[in-house]
Amino acid sequence: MFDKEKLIYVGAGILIFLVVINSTRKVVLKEVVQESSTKSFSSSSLPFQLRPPSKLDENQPLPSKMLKKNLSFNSMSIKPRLDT
Amino acid sequence: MIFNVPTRFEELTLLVKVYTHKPEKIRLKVVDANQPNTTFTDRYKTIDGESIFFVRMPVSGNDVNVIVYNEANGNLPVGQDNSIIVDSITKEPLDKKLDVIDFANPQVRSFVNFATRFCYNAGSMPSGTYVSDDKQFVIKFLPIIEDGGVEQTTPARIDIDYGIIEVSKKFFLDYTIPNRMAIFLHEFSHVYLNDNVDDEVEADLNGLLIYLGLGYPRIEAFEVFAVTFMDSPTEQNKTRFDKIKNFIENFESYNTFMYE
Repeated sequence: MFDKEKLIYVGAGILIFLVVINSTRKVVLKEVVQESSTKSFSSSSLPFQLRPPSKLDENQPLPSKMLKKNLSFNSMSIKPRLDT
Repeated sequence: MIFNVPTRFEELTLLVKVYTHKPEKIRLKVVDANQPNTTFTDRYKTIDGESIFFVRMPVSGNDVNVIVYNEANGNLPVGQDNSIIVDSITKEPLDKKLDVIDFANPQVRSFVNFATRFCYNAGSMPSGTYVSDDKQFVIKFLPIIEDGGVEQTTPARIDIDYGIIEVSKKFFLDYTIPNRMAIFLHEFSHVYLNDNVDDEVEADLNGLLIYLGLGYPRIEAFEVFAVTFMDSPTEQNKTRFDKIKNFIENFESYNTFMYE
């Protein structure tokens, strides 16, 4: 009675349609009347992967892993070589 | 007009659909609603009729403010500017090409993580020296970059022997997150990916490959290089810009590593 092949195509079509519909989310437009300039911000509310990186204290030495990369004749100058 | 959009720190693409009755220069900014000096995009488009802004956001805040206005009239609330209608704001999945990035390289993994966190938070971080979790990378966040007491026009530079990156806070506060990321990836490429550490074009393309693969907006990469090159419009920089433009435009068809 039903063509099996057609049913498979219909099923696949519905599946693709649902994936497309569910991946697109329309936002209800909510206007902000005045941007707050005094809003306090704390980085502790951020997820781990977006937290600020570690800051060294004033007199803390640079990590020992920071080894001279290119120990060549050119790099043995007193002036640092800086690339912009 | 300012619209608040909850983004819950997700990676996404925002589609902002705008109508105008005649050609109008429309400004679009997407900023973090909570974190100061944190802009995801700042761009304009001349629109006549219907148009959609696509804003790729590999990082986002808990919620963002989408600011849209006609540059001729300034930012007015809804109903006060009839020259522009914001029809809808839609969230869609972010299109990334992670296969072009060599994440098997632990230095790439570590630096992308470090740079992402730095770029997102730079607007509220004090000056100082910052290190990555694995202590491999160091960024000196300086009020300005100086050489012999003279302020430099560069937003960032890298010590090619030690890999220490210096960043000008003065420049970075005004930059968008994608601008900051494009600059960092360029500096990283000089020392850690380039065959020739001094080759600017090689650093541009190696950095861009990671930037575009992560899903950052194309327009912001153009912008940051264009602004930097405008400060020194040499023949070499013109050639660099042409190569960058060509690389970005053809990125979708690339499928090879530019570095080992």
